[in-house]
Amino acid sequence: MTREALGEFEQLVLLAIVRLGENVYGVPISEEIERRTGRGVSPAAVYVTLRRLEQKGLLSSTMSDPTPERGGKARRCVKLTPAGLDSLRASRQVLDSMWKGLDPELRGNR
Amino acid sequence: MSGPPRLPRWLLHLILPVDVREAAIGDLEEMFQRRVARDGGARARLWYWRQPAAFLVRFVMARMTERIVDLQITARQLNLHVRQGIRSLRHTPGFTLVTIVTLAAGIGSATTAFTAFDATLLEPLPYEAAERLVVMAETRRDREISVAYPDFQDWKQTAQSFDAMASFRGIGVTLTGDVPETAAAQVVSADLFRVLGTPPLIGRAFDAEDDQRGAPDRVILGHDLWQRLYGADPDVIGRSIGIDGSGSEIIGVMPKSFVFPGGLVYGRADLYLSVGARWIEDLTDRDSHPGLAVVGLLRDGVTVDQAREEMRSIAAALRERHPASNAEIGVVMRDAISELVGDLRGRLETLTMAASLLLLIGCANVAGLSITRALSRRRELMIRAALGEPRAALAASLLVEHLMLAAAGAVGGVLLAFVLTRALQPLTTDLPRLDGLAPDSSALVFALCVMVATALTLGLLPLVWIGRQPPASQLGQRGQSAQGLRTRHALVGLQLALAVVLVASALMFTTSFRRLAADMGGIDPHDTLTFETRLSDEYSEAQSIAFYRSLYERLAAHPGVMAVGGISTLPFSGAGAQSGIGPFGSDPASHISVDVAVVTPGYFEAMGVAFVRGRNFGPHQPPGGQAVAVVDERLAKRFWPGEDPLGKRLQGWGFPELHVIGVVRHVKNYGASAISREELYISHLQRPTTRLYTVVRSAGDPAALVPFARHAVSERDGRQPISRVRTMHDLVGRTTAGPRLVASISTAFGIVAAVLAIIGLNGLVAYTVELRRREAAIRLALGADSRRIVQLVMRRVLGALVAGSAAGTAGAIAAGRWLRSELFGVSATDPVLLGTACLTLTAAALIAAWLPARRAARVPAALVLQQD
Repeated sequence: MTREALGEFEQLVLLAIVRLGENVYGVPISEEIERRTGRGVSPAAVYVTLRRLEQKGLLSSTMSDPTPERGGKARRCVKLTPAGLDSLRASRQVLDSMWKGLDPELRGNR
Repeated sequence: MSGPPRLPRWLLHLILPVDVREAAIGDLEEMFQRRVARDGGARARLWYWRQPAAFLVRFVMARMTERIVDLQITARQLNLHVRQGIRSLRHTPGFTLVTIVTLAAGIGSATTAFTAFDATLLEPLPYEAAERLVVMAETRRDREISVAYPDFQDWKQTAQSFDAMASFRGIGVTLTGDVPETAAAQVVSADLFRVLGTPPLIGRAFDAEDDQRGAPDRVILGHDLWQRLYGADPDVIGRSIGIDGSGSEIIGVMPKSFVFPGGLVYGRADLYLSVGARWIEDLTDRDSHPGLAVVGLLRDGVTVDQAREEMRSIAAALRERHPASNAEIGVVMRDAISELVGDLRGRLETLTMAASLLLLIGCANVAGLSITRALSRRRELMIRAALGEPRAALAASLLVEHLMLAAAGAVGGVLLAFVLTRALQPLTTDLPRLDGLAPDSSALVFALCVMVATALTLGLLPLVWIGRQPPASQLGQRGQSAQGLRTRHALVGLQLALAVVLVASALMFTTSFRRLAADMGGIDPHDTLTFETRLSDEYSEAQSIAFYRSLYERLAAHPGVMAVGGISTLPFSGAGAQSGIGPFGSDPASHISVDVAVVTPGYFEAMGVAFVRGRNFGPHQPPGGQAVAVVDERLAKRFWPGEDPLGKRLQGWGFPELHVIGVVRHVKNYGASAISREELYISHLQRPTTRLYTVVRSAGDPAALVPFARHAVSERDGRQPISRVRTMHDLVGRTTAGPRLVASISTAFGIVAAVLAIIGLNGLVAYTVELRRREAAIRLALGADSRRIVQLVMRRVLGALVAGSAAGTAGAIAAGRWLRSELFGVSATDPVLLGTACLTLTAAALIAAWLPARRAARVPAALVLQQD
């Protein structure tokens, strides 16, 4: 596999984007991850990750119109690219193949 | 609803990259508002305040990771360049080998010269405020003499430029323990340790009381002596040590790092005594200069020049106040390093210069080879460029290649520097600060810098040169462009010129050293043993005379001894005693400073000092107690030119009247190249001293006489050691150590320069001929004489050689003028030396050029033409 493996936080960010579907930007991504994982997310971590994923070509972004509730700032809306989807699938497969056949007790939720 | 705090918002503006700035700040604002609603304004503001730091850390970390990725890419390219470079260097093993050897020779000699330069002039002295230390002496009519103690005390009181000032003088003492041994002592004023900034390791330093006449006998031990005699026992303070027959209280021990006077001036000391306890009458006499040196610690911010100016005005004031003693007394001041290193500085600068020239020759050589090689690779480089390899990558590739060559050269050079400094060690043991010379980290840094500079110059040179060629001409053409040839001929000329300069200088130094070594300075140093004896103060004058008479009779009775005698100050030992002397009845103010010595009658024969006129001292006091003297021919000529000096009278050195009974040859007391004074000898019978240097002329190996001499001394006084056992041959050799070092190194440099220049020339001609073989073959095929072909090649080379050797000769004359003060008995324009250097090199160069030219002319034309 020539493609670099995704880090855990990168996977979380990508999955959040997939879940949110339309009109996805920094704020909803942070909230989605916080809600589902129950852990606090630093906006800085999200932004650095978004920027890196975009540089790798795993997602693309467009700027929306500025809105007053944001202090007149525009949003950067992001969307998964086909490559992003591929690498997400690949990461899943890697994990699945590692889990396959392991003791059901180990797999059980605690 | 209020917005987020302004300052962190502005900080975020500064921190965030442009592409994410707007979106991120907008998101943070949105989140802030939600947090205000959820957690309240205070907590939301706190959260917002943390964001700039969080973003800063994250983005800096991300940037660093990207950098590492960048570096990995560069490393991959570098790896490629390196492999490409190795392949292409292996393709041309001759070029590679010659280049590496040449660079190693250049870098090695430059590093060696730098190492010596660094050790001597750049390394700080082993004292706290070394850069503020100055050493002072007095002068009489521009001749340097030691300092009069009353003058020193006036300096200390008047001078404002110094924090402190101290005097010191070296004496020899006898440690009267179970086995008596001699030791070197320094009699120092109390401030010395403060001036040098080193307190004793244990115990205390001298204080003001120790400067007073009649102070109690106290001693501060040097670290070595403390270890040797007391096994580094810390309880040694307060104990008594026998020095010259009486007990001295040990009050301190100096640390191991304390080197004095060796760190400041030349010499060593085992222990330190106070001025007060070792009071001598001379210290009260302003007219007496009893071997005192003075070291001062400049006040912070005062320059040497300012202090010198002040000292000059103080000396002028003393001249006015004490005209009888100080009428002609001036003062000289030097910073401590200059004082210690003395004339070695000029020699080292010379060697560094020579090494730089050598490096330059090496670079010219390699540059010539590189251009030649680049030309032959033109096609390859142009094809690579045509295939889309960027110019920057081509440059990087060439640079990496030369960096590898330079690195190999530097490794070889540093190894060579280790070998060279090791080889030089026997020559440097007698020179200050050069003991145990070896390249250190700063020398390695120096080699590294030279290496990088060399690689940059050499790597980029061919590129710049190729860049000037129109591409079309390079792909199509096979022949030789005129410009390439001109550049390389110029390089050959330059190399030859530099080589002539170096070889001529080497010849000058070697001849100078030979003449210096052959000049025995008026004595015959072969087969002579010398040693020092210092009888204890208990000896009366009569006992001292009796001791030496009996000792010398015993020594002379040995079958291996040809002659034996004694003298109070040994020639070539670096020490001397002077006194003001003038013709009888002359004004004492007109007396001149003369080297004076006390001798026994056998001295002149033992030392090989020939009598010119008159007679030697007799074995007994002259009748009527008339004081008699033997003078040297220079003194006779100075006082009584054209007259017979025998029977003339002198005065001075405490003698109201001295009758000249003999005239001897002048002896160069301080070495053949140093200035010497007129000389006066008095018989030991008339001024009995307890300390004498014994000179034994032997029939065979003088060293074999040492046990016998030791035995003869202890037979007469069991407490009496002998010390400073040396042969005169060694002492004379020591005075030529500096010139010998320069002569050896410059000879090595000269040889390397000549070899490099010849290799460079040979390579160039061989290559030129190679390129013109086609042309030569066609000419031959068309019936040209093969001699004409050789002539054709040689004519061009000859032009470069003539120009080069002419420039070299001019350079050598200039260098010789500049080096004049280093040369002894050799002229910078000596036609034989210059002619030898110039003609030998030119002849060697011609042969080096002629061999490949002839080879080319001999190759059958058909063979060459078939090859194409």
